Amino acid sequence: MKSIYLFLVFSFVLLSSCQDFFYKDVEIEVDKFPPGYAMTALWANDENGNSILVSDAVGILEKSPEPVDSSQLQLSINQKLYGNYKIGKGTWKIPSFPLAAGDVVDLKLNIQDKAVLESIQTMPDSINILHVKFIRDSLVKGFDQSYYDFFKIRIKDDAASHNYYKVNAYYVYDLEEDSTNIQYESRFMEAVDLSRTDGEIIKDDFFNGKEYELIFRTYSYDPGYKLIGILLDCHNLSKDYYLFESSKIRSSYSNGNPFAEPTTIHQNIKNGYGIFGLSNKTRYLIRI
Amino acid sequence: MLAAVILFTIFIPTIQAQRFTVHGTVTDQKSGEQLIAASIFDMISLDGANSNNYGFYSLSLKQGKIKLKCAYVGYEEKLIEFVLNKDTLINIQLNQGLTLQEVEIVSSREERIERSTRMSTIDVPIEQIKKVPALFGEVDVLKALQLLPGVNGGSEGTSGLYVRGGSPDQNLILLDGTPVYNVYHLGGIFSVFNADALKNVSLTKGGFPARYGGRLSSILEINMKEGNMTSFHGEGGIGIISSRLALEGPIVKNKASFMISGRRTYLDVIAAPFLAASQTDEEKVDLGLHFYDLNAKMNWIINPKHRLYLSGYLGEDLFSTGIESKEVGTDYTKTDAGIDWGNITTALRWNYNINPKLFANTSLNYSKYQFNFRAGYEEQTNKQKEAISAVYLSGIEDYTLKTDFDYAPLPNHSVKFGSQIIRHRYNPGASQFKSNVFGSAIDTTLGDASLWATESSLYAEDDMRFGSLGLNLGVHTSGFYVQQKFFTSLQPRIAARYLLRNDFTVKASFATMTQYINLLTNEGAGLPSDLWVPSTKNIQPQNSWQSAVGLVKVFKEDYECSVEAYYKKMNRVLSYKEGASFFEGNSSWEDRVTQGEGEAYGMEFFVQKKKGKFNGWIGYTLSWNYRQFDEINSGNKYRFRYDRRHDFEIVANYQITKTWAISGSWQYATGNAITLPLLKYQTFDPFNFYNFEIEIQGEKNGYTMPHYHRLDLSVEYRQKRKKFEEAWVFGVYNAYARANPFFITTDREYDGREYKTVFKQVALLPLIPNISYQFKF
Repeated sequence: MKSIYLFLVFSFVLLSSCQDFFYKDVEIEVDKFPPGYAMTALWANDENGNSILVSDAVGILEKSPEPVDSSQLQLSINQKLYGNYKIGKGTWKIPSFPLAAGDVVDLKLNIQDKAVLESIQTMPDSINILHVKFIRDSLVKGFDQSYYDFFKIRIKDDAASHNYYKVNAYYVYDLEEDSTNIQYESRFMEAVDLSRTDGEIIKDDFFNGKEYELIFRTYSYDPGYKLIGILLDCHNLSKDYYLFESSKIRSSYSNGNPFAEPTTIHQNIKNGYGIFGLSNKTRYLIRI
Repeated sequence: MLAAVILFTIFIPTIQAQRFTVHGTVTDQKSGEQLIAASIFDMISLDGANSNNYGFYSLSLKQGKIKLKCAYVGYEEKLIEFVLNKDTLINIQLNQGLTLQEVEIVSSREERIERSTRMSTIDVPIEQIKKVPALFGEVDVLKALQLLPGVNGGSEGTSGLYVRGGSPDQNLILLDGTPVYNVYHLGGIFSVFNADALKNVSLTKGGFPARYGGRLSSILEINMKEGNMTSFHGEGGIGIISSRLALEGPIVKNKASFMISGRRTYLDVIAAPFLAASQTDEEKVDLGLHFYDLNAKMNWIINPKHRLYLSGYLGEDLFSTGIESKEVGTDYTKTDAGIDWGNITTALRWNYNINPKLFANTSLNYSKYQFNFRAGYEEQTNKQKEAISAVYLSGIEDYTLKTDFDYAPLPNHSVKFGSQIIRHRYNPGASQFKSNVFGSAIDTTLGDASLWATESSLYAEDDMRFGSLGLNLGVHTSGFYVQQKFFTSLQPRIAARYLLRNDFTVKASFATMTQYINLLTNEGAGLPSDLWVPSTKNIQPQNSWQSAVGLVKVFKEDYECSVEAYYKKMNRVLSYKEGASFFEGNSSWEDRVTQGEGEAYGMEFFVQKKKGKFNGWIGYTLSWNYRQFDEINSGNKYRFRYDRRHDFEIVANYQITKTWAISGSWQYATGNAITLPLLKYQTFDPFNFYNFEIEIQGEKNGYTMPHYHRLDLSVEYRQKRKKFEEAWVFGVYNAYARANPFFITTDREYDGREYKTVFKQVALLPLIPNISYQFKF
């Protein structure tokens, strides 16, 4: 019996000495890459314009990547030059320009004559919204016992193309209740759909060419101000845009999971990295 | 052509002299257990044969004086002299040798490796497997096989088998001839095989004889004990996380016997008193965490010509939690969630000794694997009940009828032929949602419906000996019918050996294999959520061809040494597409997978000593292993995850005295191939207006984890009394606490000035001591 106690004590001491065992630095020699650049341009037919971010692409063990100081953007629509823009450091706003379904947009980004990044996208079709129903403060019983606001959006899907639907909602509050101080609050929208993909985007695989009710929801809470309306931005994403968003979400799921294959983030930039995507936005106002 | 060769070589000699057949079974005199591949040799004509998997032998000899010697390692040889003038039945019973130390390892097969046409096959005696130091002291058949050359264990601590570059679904694992589909407990940490119930383990990695089919990479045959025919015995053990007990004995002495064994973990039993102490009248918590195995077998010698066996296996893993909260009055809420998975296998076999030269085995087998995930919520408020539940099911079920014949027309011919038909039922993942809330009911099932398929096969092979040359020629033909589509395959098999000297042989083999069943896995190992799916009209069967050459030499009668080089090409292997996973209820599994090619080649070196006070083996493998899919890695060929260039193992057992024994194993392997991020850039989310970094992955599996090595040790103290034997086993896993990487990830650390990305390794299993108590009676 004594020997068993000794064995248990010995085991405990040994196990507790393994502090740095389970998680520690490891040196792995990775390939050195020449400097590169990345562009992110996820645009919609938005009257407020769109944003672009140009950053350097650096080795994984190097310091954090920084936005590029300046670059020159050439924008063409349907093979006709539309404009040249000087892009500054950080997330840079481009003035709005008219875009219709089927328009082909071509970007060429010259980064201080060190690299020229290119990408082409075609504007998706607009969404044919038939009806929108808003259900406020609905208790969803079950594992989280939470209250949600539901948005049921009836659409007619276009059979001629593959479509990818995403919705953003902005709750509009009248802070002073006299229309002198209006605030827009962005809410995270989750697709509640048995055919959904990736939590935020709905693919039309299950209802291609048919009428269908897209259901989205967001956590319901009352910040104490008067809600006067909700702006619903319903997006039909281009395929590259969808692949980028979905691969980004899958990558976040697989991060740190030893059983998951690392996910490649989708890219479509020639001579560089990043993503250029277009979405056709239809705005719907719900008056409260 | 094959049939003509066989008929020619059989017919010509038979016209020359009258021959009669000596036949029967070879068994252990004390227990009645059949002795597989025992040698039966006529010392006058120098003709011989080996007993088959049921102990049956048949030897055709010239009429006249016969001096028959029967030998099996660890047993006294038996010499029988008589005059042969008719077909004669001789059942041979061997006694264990008087010079044999009672605790020495004995071999479970005796066919001499250098004389056999078999190559790429390793038999490991079950007693030797029991001596290999084990994680938590739990003897594990599959973990012991991972210490053999050509066998890669996958991730740290798991029981996966990656044989010569193949994946786990390419291994046909047979328990008493019945396939077992998920052979892992606790996510791969342990296997389902209880060593106390087993008689022998044989792994074939290449040079497959025609009687095997259905998988590309290996056949693992595991046979259960028959049960002692003469007296009642038992053995068992109590360990840190589980206990086991096996009982065997006669039902009718020398006529019928049984064997039953069970094993169960008791983590939930240990936790139960603590849980009970935390319960209140208002809230009750339930926790289930265990696995168990149950093996049972019965065999009945009806008469000298007929014998029946009935065997079965039942095993399950369960993890569950439940919370029940009592509210006011009769109001309550209940939440429960659980995962369980398990196998059931059953085999009914009938041996029929049709005539002295012809033996038949007919089996009816059933195998089922099922995985369930469930979650439920129930609430009662003011006597109104509402409930929501979700269930995910996947699994596979087989119904098999097969018959195999052993025919020994002449001493230098051993013919096997047979057929098999399997009815498969696949459940490749279905989700069911039920809800009854506010009087509104929903009952929906998503995913793939059950799929039935029929697989059939025929084979014929002849193992021929012409002096120094031995040849095994065979053909295996199979068909698979599913979704109104019929696949067929003709698979030639050739193996040859040439005796350069009595103890020195050169061997070569070529085999083609076809596989109609696939396992969708996340390339971890042994996750119960892995899905078995069939070939369909959209997913073609996998196939392969493998060639091997080798040399075999036996030193001092005890040391078997082999060197073998192989090349294997696999076509239409399956993988998830990038980013896909098993739990996507909105799409068919066929849409989530892609097919491509695999290539594996290398060299294996193996020295094995199966018997004696000191025994064990040394193995070394040098190998390369690649995959190529059009939809993965931009269509470029890449290293398979378990492409380990060097793999070295040494296993040693030494019986110091009658009471003390030590065992150890040391293995070294190149690290697994991994994908690492190489670049990063800044991006932003246009909807939520925040910037973040994105990492770009480098070449798929383009980097190698740090090398893996580990030492395991154990010491055994055994005491034998008159009718009872007991032993204490003290062991340590990972004796020098090597932090072997389980996976590599990135992390951000602040170095005082800025945040930097660093690589971090996660290790799983440190130094783990164990202690167990074993007994035998």
